[in-house]
Amino acid sequence: VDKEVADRSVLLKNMLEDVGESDKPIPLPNVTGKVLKKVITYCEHHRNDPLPQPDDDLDDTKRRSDDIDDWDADFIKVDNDQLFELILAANYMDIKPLLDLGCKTVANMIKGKTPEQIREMFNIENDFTPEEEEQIRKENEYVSLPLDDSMMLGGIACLLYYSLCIANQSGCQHYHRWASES
Amino acid sequence: MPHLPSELLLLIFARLPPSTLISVLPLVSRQWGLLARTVVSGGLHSGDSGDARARESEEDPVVPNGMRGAMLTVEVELVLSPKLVREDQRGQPWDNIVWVAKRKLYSRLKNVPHPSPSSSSKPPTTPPRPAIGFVRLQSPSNALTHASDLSSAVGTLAPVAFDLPPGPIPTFVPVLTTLNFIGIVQDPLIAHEALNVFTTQCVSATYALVQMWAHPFPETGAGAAGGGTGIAAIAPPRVPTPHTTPTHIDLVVHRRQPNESILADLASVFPNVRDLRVGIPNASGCTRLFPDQFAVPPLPAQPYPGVTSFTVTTGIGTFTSVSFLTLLSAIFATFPNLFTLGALDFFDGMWPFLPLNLTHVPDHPQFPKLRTLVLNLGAWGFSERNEVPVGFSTSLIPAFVDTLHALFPQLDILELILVGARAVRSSGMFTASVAGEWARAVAGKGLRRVVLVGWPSGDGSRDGSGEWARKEPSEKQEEERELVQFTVELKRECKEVGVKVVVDEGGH
Repeated sequence: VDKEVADRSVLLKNMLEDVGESDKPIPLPNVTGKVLKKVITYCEHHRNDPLPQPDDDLDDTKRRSDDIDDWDADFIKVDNDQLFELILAANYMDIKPLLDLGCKTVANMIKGKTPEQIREMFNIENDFTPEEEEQIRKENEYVSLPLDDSMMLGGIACLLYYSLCIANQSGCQHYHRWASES
Repeated sequence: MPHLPSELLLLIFARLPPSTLISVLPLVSRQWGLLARTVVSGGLHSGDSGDARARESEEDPVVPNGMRGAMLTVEVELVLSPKLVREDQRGQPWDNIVWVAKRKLYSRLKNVPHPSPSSSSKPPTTPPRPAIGFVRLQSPSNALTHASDLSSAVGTLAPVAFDLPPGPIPTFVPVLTTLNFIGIVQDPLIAHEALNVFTTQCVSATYALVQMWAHPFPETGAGAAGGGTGIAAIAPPRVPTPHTTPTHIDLVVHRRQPNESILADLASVFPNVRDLRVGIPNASGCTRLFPDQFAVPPLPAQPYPGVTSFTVTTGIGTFTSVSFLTLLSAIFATFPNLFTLGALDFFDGMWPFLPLNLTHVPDHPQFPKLRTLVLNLGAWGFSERNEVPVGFSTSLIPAFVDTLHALFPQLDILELILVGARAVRSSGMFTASVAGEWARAVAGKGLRRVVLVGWPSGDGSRDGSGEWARKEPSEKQEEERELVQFTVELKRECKEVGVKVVVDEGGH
């Protein structure tokens, strides 16, 4: 592997600086050969990209998950096992763009899924009792209302509807006048 | 399927909208719920609206209005030790019982850039890596169910713990990195459940606890100590349940415990351990971990190829040079892929047989896999006695490095941890006048880096904690001055011969 490609990994870059000009193999005990091949493919494709800067963390757009380019999207089309292994390898080898890509992909997988679907996807055991689950659902119903515009509009519409119903039942003249005029 | 540690799940969750974090993830599992709350409370999520986040920040009790500062990751070590919690605090929610026990690395906070008040409308930054230190939280074990309050507890207490100067206060984002079970021997079930709830990579535990996890009670048996409330009522597993996330294990072995199956038990509970630190407060030291090296015929070692770093945090034992070489052979037969070896107690334990004159032993063992050797300068025994070991002299520096090279021909990095400044000073091995001797010795044997851990670098950033904080100013200044002279001179000498010197003041 070219040094330029290896330098995409901060871990390897530092190790190469430490070792200097040497034929010694560099151990990567936490990465399997299969995953390493995939990582090298990624680094070779992105060999000319600017290296990530510490200030990149300040950029809020880095936290989006919908900005994956076509090559990366095709590259990351792997099964879940390999995707997680790639994320672990990127974290261990300190390859921030690959780690970002993996995290974005997993975030996209989570979006729109139900808790049950997420558990199945990630092989997570449900460690709640039915009572606890019900309690959390209740709490979440309350706190999540203002967070979603469509839900908030729906809630306002419901309130308006019930107000009109009550007004109608109580024979409110203002309501009748408004209803007949409209 | 590989398990993603909490640190990586946080990175993923930071890219999710608040509605998912609040409504969906808390229903997936306890751990996911806790992490989702951490992201939401830290303002780290991708967010649907910057305005909404700005509103949240104004309401954040930790950050004064218009002074939202940088975000700092705080490594949280969760200490589950009922003995250390006051009686009246048992069963209280987290934020009532939690307090901060460590104030390490405060000096690093001073270097964190704070945004000006006018930048308060900007979105918060993601936490810098690596973390700036850790806050230790203590809890009675039956308060585990209140773990979701971890974030608010850290947010409230961390600024106090770090004694921040007036001005913009960083937002502390807790990342649970270590579960510490030392002292929880009476309740293995709660500890077992904690491992499931908080899937951390680092675990500190006694061998007694590991033994109970490795050989669990039968389901119908008595002995579910601490039963009653909360998770303590969970039935014990009948077969050991491996925990695959922890990779860094700090193990304390009681002096009277049997040793035959320590590593086997550990591997059955934590099959993915890579970094193993073991403390055995006993003269026999770490020999008890390995098969009897002097049995006839020698007992075969059970290899654990996944372990790449092994450190003995107490004395390694009492040895002759021959038995020391036999021990090294046993260590490398057991951990065939060992890249890092921490053989501590340099003065007390190792100096009597190092350096070895191996030139007269043509078939001496070699361990070419090793790249990093960590030595602890100044053991409690020697520093208290304040005696210079017999035969100690600066002329032994090259012979010592020769020995290391003969045993570990591929050694790249030598780490020297400063624990007892008095021992280091008394040895005369680390004065400015012998820095050149060290530089020539390490460069001559192919070492590329010398790391001085816990040493003062001389740039004035030491925070007054640690070794020097307990001493009189004059003594403290004199010791620090001498040590700084050594580090400065060693850096200069090593630079000339192409060896890098790194001074890590914070230490491990």
